[in-house]
Amino acid sequence: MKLVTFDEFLPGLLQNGHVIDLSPLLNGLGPLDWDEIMPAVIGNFESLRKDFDSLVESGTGQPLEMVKLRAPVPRPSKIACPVMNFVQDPTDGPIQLDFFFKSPEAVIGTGDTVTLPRLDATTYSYEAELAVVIGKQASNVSADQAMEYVFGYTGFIDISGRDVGRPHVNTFLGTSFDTFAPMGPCLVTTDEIPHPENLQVKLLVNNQVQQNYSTNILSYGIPDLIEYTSAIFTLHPGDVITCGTDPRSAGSLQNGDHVVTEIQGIGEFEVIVCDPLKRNWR
Amino acid sequence: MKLVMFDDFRPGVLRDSYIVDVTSAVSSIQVSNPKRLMTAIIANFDSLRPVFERLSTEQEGVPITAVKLRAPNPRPPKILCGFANYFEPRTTFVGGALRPEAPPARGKRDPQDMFLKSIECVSGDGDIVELPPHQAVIFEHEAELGIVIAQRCKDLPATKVAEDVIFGYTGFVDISGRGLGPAGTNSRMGKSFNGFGPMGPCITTKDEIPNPNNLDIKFWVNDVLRQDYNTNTMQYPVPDILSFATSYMTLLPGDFLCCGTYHMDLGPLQDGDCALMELEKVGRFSFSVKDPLKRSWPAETRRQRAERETQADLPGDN
Repeated sequence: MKLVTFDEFLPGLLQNGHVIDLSPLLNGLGPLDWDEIMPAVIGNFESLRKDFDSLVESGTGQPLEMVKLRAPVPRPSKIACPVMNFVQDPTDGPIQLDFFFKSPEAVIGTGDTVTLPRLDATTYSYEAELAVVIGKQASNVSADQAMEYVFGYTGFIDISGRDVGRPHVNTFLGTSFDTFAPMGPCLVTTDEIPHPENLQVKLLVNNQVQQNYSTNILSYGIPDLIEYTSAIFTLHPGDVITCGTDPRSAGSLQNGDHVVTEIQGIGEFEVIVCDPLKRNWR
Repeated sequence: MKLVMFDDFRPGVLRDSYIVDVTSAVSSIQVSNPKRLMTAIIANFDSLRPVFERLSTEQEGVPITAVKLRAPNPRPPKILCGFANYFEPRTTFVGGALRPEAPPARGKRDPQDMFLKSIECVSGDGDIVELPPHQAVIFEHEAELGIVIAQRCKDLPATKVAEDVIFGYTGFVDISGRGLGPAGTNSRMGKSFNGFGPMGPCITTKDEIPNPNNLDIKFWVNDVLRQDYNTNTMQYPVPDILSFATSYMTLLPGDFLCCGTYHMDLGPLQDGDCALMELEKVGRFSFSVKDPLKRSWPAETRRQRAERETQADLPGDN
């Protein structure tokens, strides 16, 4: 099943190129702010699911091209990303996991614009990543139980301003500029992606393939990432854990770039890059 | 006005040592989770304030000792903390060793930086902070001035005008596990364990604190004074903090910014500790520490440790 958020942050089901509005099913879930809608759909998915069929049969869908798609989880309560999840030099031995948070205000959706800030970063880089969306509250979950807490997957670009802030103390705040977390196009439930550890992730800049790797090159799998993060903080439905990238193919963005991210089984989404200062790094 | 949350996250006004329940004034605000109520109150405060004022003068309230106080801003949309930020002789942990450094001259400030802390870390007065089993070098307290944001904002100037977006102030302890993560790094995750953000006792609205850049902060562990400093020694005072944060990201009502701390007097938090924080014009709150692993560190500040180690080193040096 593929879920989307569309127009004025309505929850939808994507089926056969049509988006079916799920909001009529949410009346029993109490008052929900715009950012709580998709987490509520996720958290109540089992009970809502039985009503999906009747909604689909009622034919209330609109063609996909008639709606404005948003990020499927437009404001996760937390976005945690691994600092590094790939062994660059095998002689170094295994890497040790570490994470950072991205600001929830950084999330944008397909068709939106990444705006580079005026700060003088050395580069603004892209890293296409598979993102895991959490399905239920998780705290101190062991790796062998972790997949039970996964609701689904979506595509993600971790954009970072490099070398901003205080030198030598990486606070990772350069990853948290507004618009630096493009996500999409949809949220695919786990039943449709039985092998997230072997998905092709592709990123194109101006029609040139820049990243093209399988998630099977990553050091730590999703169970490890969930075990690690849930031992530090509680995860909630809709929270996003990203899987890291192949750092060898990560590159930089600048004004006018058209960026397409495509993940096998999830689909593709696009963003454009705007730099009011029109800087050139290439 | 001093706002609190108490018992099952009910909103209250704190007057002297009495709390007036103002739940009746917010009945029109619908939230899915009572922890989000303070954010909604902040966003609607202009219309709520007269009602809160009336209720708090009409009613006597209940003694603060008769309720369970909660963190006043229990679920901020974001928590953004200042990196270092005070003029002081600096000490840094390098491989577990303490290296005192000369302070920068005023006017020659370190580059500014901030980091995001998990919003799940918030805890309140009287709560127990449990240390995780992670093998940190040490778990330390960082008592800080906390700023609660009133309105959506972005790209603020570093001038007094920026303070217009502030709702109020509260006390915050940025508890920090050091030396976690890959070797040679100091993972920011050491600050994001559940419970590692005790906050309280109330939010004092900004009209009662015309100058946040001159407030005394004190922090005790087991009745021994550890931290005792004034926010007038910040390298980047409140307007700079607001300007910096909003040059990166949009802030929302209820967002929580912390101003950094004075590091020389940081010390360990460990099993059985009772900690107390006092922020001028805001008040006092306490929390206790539990460590199922019963680890132990010398109950001394970085300054005391540096002095002790320097003295211990003297015979060998000569």
